[in-house]
Amino acid sequence: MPPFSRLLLLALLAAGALSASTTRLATDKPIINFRLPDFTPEGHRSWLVRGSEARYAAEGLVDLSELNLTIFTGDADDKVETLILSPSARIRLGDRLVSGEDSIRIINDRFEASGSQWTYDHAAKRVSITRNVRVVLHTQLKDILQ
Amino acid sequence: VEPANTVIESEQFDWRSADTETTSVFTGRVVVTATNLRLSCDRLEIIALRKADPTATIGKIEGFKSMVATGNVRIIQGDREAACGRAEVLPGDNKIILTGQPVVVDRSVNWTWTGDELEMLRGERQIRGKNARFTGPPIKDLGVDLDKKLAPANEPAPATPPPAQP
Repeated sequence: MPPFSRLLLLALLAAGALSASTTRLATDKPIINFRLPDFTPEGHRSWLVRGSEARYAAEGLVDLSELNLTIFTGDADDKVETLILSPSARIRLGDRLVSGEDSIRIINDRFEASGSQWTYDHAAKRVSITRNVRVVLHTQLKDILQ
Repeated sequence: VEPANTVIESEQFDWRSADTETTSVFTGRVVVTATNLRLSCDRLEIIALRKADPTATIGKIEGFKSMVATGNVRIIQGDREAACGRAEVLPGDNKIILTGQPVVVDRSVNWTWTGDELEMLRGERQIRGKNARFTGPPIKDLGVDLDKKLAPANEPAPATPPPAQP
């Protein structure tokens, strides 16, 4: 390859790399129909975050409208384990923490929980609701005193 | 009695998932309503068994492993009522252990149990306890009242039959 084109190629590559690192996202525009999957180290789907609208709130923080968070079994079966629904939520992408002040519904085949002012920590496998909690367990609790 | 779901209401709720079981802690005016049952307390911790899939965040709950209610515990089920400081329900062992000045009342027979610890065997209507004290309804006086005048007999006493001839 003639030296000039090689030089040009190198220049283009350098320019491309330079622009990529300086590109700033336009953060004031909402993302419509936001979708963000997450995977286990083995490559199985772990969760799928969806929202009708997402706004970039700050570094690593995204505000969502109409959160629909699907948690999978995280194995080859790729089955839906639990659904978390909320009118609004904030996601901390770095440590996969989702929280909200609004109402929340957690739906699973063995229970359904609702309340408000909540957090879901995916890595710690922990759900916390701090107001108006109501949990319906589809499990019988019989004859405690009989 | 129509079986009903177990509904738990409280101010706070915290649910953690470990490999084989999930732990949920309810705090603040906890009320549990279930089949023919109402339980209220300050704090309730339920440990539920999970199926073998450790990666599932909130897994399938096989059944209660244990349920511990603490603080102003009141349990009402059918004709029985219990009040205590701590109640530990162990479905697997089919029993409930009441401590913290427990009192159990069975309104169908008007019996009351108290003790340091009361252990109720589920489905057997049997109660065991340490330093247990049992209070039942009053029993009529079974003693002989010596002062009581015998009423005069109206008819002559029956004649004694003659001895049999050999």
